[in-house]
Amino acid sequence: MTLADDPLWGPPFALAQEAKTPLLLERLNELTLWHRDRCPAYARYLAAMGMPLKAQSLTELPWLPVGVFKSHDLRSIPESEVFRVLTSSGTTGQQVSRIAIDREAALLQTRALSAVIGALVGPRRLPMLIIDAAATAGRTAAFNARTAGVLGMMTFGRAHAFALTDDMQPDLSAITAFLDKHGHEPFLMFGFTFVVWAQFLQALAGRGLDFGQGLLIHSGGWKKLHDQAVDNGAFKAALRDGLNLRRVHNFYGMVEQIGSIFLEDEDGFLHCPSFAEVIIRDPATWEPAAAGQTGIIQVLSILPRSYPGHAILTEDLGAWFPEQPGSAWQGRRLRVQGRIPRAELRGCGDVGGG
Amino acid sequence: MMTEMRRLLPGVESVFTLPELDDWLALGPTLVPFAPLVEDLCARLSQRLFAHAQARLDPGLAAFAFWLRPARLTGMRRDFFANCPETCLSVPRGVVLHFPPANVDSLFGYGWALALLAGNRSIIRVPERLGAMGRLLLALIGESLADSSPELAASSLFLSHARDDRLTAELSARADVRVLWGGDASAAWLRGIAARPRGRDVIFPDRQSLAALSLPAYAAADEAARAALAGGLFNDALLFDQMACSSPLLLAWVGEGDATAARDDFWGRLQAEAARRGYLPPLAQQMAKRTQAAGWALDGETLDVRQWGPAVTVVSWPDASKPAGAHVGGGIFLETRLAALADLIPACSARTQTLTVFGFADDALRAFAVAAGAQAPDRIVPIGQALAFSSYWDGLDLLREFTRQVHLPRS
Repeated sequence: MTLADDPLWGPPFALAQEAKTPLLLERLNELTLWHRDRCPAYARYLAAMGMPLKAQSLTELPWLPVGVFKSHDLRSIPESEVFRVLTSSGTTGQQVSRIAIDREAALLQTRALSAVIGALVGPRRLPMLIIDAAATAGRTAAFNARTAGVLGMMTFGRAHAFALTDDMQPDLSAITAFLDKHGHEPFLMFGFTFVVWAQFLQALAGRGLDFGQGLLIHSGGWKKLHDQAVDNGAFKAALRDGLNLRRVHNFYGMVEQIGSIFLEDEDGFLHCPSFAEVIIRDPATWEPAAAGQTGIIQVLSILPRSYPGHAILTEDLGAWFPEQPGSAWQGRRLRVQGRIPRAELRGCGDVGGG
Repeated sequence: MMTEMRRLLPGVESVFTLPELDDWLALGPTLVPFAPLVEDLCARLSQRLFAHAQARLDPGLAAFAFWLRPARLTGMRRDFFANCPETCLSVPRGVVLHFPPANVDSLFGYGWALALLAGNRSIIRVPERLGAMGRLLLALIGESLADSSPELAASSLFLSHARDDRLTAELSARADVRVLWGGDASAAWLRGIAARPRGRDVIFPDRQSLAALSLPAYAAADEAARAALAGGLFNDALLFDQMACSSPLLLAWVGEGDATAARDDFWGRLQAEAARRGYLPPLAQQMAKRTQAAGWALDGETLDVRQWGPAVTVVSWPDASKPAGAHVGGGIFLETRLAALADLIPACSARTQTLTVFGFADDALRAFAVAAGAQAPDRIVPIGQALAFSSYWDGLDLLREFTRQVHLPRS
């Protein structure tokens, strides 16, 4: 079967849940065996955990905790076939995830991203304003998750302009030049959620700039905004009121699982594309949670063939919701509520402050 | 400018200076070991703790109150003098400077009480982020001291200050003994600050602990004994999220028998006990346990990981001698199978503090310690007693550490 006639690679939100689930299960079960045969560490993991090799349902699939990608280099391809190593963002000193992808995986990842973004933006490439500094996307930039995100998204636009200076201040002349030239037609915007909030919106709100034709895609996590008691609703309202920016779409994904690209639709929910799925685990029992119930987010994707990351338990909390009959975007929906709170541990190994 | 010190006790909290400290040092003669008025103070503090609704219900403070009872102190006194040769006389060392840990609320009480029982005066550097139970203990110690004689009230100085190496150096220059609970990093920090030429350091670095169960004894144990054992391991391991130095990580089944039946019964009981007592590790810690166990499985260190519930993750550990390194706590256990107790010796190292046991004869345990020699754990106590504080700790007789022996041979 080629990708062209693979139903999981059709329009990413067109497949109804009922049709999607058995197709995904078959593909993901194949991947479990694929990785078991090619990644000895993964084979040892499966054996030790006593997880089934052939799952009867998506919730039975053997998953890896996302943290192991920080401590272990896991891959199912020979080193010579590693095309790129993706790394997660992390502050200095923090361990980062390292994900090995081959040429095929890189192509599929681009295809997946383009299918999802295309479903929102349409087939035409729009003029694009990046809410970041040109330096982030520059050739000298360290290839971290943020740079990768910006570069990945830039392929979906044209006539790129950067809204921030290299010291992350609003570049008013670049912004007004962009709006003068493209502000009268639909245009695309992309930025990291907190950067959009702190460096862009806070500085520019109420200055009469009109982003009415803009479509903003943003990602990168809510932690800093939740600390300021800003949720998705408040975020969108502020963009609407301050910049007349009305089309705002959040995006949830992680470097550890290529293909898991959950995009927010007009309904305010994140949507699973056909090649990925979400499961929520009840924090008390670790069993699959009912719709609407908060739990640990587990993600599934058919893309990871170069490393055993097709079923991953994240360290995020969220809730899933069933597809809405008649909705344009089919498939499960997701709400992300943020990271699992850090644990404060006791013990006798600590004299406070020295 | 040196960091400001605050005196928390005795009296009302106030700013405290080094000249005031020197005045305090000039104040008083020290006491004798096991002075009746000190034992009396301990007994009254014990009563106060038992009488206080919150203190009584806190496992840490309740255990401290129990430890301070007159019966216990009488035993300690007899032991102390029995261990003193006739040609020697024990006298206090003088001033003991304490650096208790921030995260075990009641621990500073033990160090303070032992130093006082040995006849010393104490300066206690109270952790800045002391928990609610620690603050309660401090308040009750304050009440007990206020009720006692002026001599006793002047025996103890509870101070609080932000970290400042110069201030620590000033305090160190005035102390005869420094006591630090706090792990390898804190130990290295304090060792970098000079003590008095004759000063003595009693330092408790990072340690790890193990447990051993006799398989035949477990098979023979009745329902009540098994339930008590699960309760004991719960106390040992989970009261402090398994982060206490004496909480076990590795658990060995020793001897002949059906290990599968025993372990299925045992771990199921432990999880049930945790559930009954409402123990649920924070979700982040549950994730950390799964991640750590997954890492060991990926590396082939373990061939079997079993999740008994949120509080109990059991990881088979075929090679008991293989160190696991730091663990995330919250109920993660390495389980191994051994033919004889002596096989546990390779699992012991200088880091090993406590071996908790079930079902072994005393002479078997002694033989084990003899065979282990320098590798022997510091304590071998029944399961359930891992956290029970004793004046023998980390291989030291603390009452001896806090006293000097005056040699008086008969002429």
